[in-house]
Amino acid sequence: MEENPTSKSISDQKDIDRSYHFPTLLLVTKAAGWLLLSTLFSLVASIKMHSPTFLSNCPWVTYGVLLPAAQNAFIYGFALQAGFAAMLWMTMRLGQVKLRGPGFLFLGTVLWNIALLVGILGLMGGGQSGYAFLSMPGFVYSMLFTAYVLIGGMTLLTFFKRPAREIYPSQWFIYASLYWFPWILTAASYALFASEPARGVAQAVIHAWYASGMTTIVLGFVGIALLQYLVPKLTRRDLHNSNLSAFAFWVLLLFGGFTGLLQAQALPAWVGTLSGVCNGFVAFAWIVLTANLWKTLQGAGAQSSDPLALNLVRLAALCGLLGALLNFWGSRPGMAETVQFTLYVQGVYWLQLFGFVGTLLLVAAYHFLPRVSDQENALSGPFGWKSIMALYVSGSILVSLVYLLGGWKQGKALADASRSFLEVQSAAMSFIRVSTIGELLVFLAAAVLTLNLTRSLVSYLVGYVACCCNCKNESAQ
Amino acid sequence: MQKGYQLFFAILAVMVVSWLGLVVFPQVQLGNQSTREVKEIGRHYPTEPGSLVLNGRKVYQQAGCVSCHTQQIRQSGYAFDLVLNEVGDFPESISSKLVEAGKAAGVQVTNEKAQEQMANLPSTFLERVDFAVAQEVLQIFKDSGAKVAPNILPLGSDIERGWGPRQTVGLDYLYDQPLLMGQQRLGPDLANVGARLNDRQWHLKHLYHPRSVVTKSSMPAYTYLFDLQPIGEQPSPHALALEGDYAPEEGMEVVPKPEALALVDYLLSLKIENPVFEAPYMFTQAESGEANNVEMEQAQ
Repeated sequence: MEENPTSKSISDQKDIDRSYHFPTLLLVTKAAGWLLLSTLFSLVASIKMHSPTFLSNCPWVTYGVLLPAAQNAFIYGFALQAGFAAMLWMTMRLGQVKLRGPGFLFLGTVLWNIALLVGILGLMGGGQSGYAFLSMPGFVYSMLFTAYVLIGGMTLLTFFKRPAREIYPSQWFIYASLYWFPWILTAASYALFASEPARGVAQAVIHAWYASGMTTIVLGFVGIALLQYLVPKLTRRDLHNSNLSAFAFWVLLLFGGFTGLLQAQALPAWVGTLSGVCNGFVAFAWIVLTANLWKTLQGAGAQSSDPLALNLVRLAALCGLLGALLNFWGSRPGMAETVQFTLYVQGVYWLQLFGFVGTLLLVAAYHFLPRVSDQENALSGPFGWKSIMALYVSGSILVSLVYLLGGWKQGKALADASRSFLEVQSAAMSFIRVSTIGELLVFLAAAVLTLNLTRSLVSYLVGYVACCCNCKNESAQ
Repeated sequence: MQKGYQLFFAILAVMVVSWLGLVVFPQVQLGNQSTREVKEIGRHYPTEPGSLVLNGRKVYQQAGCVSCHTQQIRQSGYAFDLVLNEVGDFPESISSKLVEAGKAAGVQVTNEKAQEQMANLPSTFLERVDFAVAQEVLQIFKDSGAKVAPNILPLGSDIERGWGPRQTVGLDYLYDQPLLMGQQRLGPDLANVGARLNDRQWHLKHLYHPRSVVTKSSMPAYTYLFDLQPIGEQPSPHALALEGDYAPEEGMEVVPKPEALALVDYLLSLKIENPVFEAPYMFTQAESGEANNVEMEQAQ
């Protein structure tokens, strides 16, 4: 196992754990709230496809506004915030170190959420930038960067103050993600939103660089770090081979930033070719990663402390692997032309971000929240963990599969000029309609999760205020 | 790698390589493009959009039309029509060369047919042949005295659907800020919508209620871009001529807001109407700017 429990006494460990309680609970609760909003936007957008006149009098909720709003709320609101909480937890546990600068972390979280709220309202109010993953108005990114300096800065400071000096494979992925995010955020937002922004099709390459960096490296690495942390924890075994993890890390880092580029004919040929080749390397790294995890997991089911969590981790790893393979498959010459511009791209997005990253973040929250809070799990009970995960996973997988299959059929129909566009459109629409069921399931999961976490946060705050009052009374006596 | 600073510098080095490759290099390669003179149209291309078009572009951006529509026409390759323009001084040998050219293309050409083609100049004697065949045929006519020219025909499902005459190239997006190329086709491609559907009233009705003009459309309605108002002393000149279920109540009219008019201005400005060096095709002035009402229904 990666961490060394003998280096601290159990009471010291509890002290360390408690130092993370409020910041992580706050981050995860906010993340759940944004997941709820994101899935609500997706659901309404999907309903608009069934009924073209639904909410047609409101410019705030057009399909083209709701889709990027859902995407941005998921990435910046849910995935990144829950990712920060998970990274903090792993930094603390692997480094055996108390949280540094909790006040700054709190300030950063508040600022991050204000920036995001302003950004989403700005996007919906007509300030949409037009770039997917960077759809909020340009000025929001400097606010997000400032908030990130506080959150990421405190995570890094905590890392540097760790007494356990060894760096585990999970930590490589965490720190690459932490360094990569501010870099791509500043570089891309400066290139696209500065007073003299990039011109013409150069914008497409820069934007694709940001989007692929966000998916493959920033969020992908949070997911991989969690895989490498949770599998040994849940199986009570060491990783089969940490050299394989190191190999996958460097391959993903070197090539992951070059994937996801457009196959557009308006761009130079090297752009699509480079992306296709790098997708191949990324898929190979994923095969290595999965093989390493599979070897670790072999015969571990019986020893697991939590078989359900372990099965979800397995499922998430499968989604990650499938996402990388399908990305590679879809970028091959001949195939890229078929799946380009179709729902297939959305299917891979759902598989990678909802199926892989999202599932692992929820498993991580379930795993660490009871430990930092020293209380009964906020996600237990009949409408707790099992319901949330059942709804979330079934919804995410359903949407992914429907979009992948729908995208494939849509692409085939698009390539056949003898079929009218109305036929192509109606083929895609039938899949979008089925995906609404999946989106509804994920929305319900997010609603239950938010309810449970909000209840837990309120009970923490009430307990904190009561404790302060007691302390005051005691000192007055 | 067991030290934090080693990890930091290694990650930094990779980040810098990635940034140089995909932010700096594309700026150097693509960021300095400028307008270019296109001899077929006798002016520089593209032209800078006017303020009305820019306002419409803003509405397009705000409404998120880019989520469903692309503005990029794809092309899978080229075919060639071979045209005999002049027979030259040795007509007797041209007839046999036409037969030989037919053989090269796998088409049976009789001497009578060859004579007929020579009698009706200019004559397209081979249609939609590939590059290798076109080259071979041109070689057959080399030094024959006849004038044979290839007409370039872009291929691909987007072209065959009539979405545009050629693929889009980087130059087409020179003034696009931000770039609205789009990545999903839930609706048709709009790169050339201004040329293929150039009816303002049709676009306005389509925005107000897509099914009023395209029966099975699944595009959401954009009714917020219109005012439903009582008819004054004079009906508004911009009022939509809606019929059937979509017509407003008696005494009312549907009038587009300035945003709707600007959006339509923008849509009508989207045109790919001339060849460029990277994407040549057989260009005739007559084919540009022609609205095709039949296509309006088909294209949707």
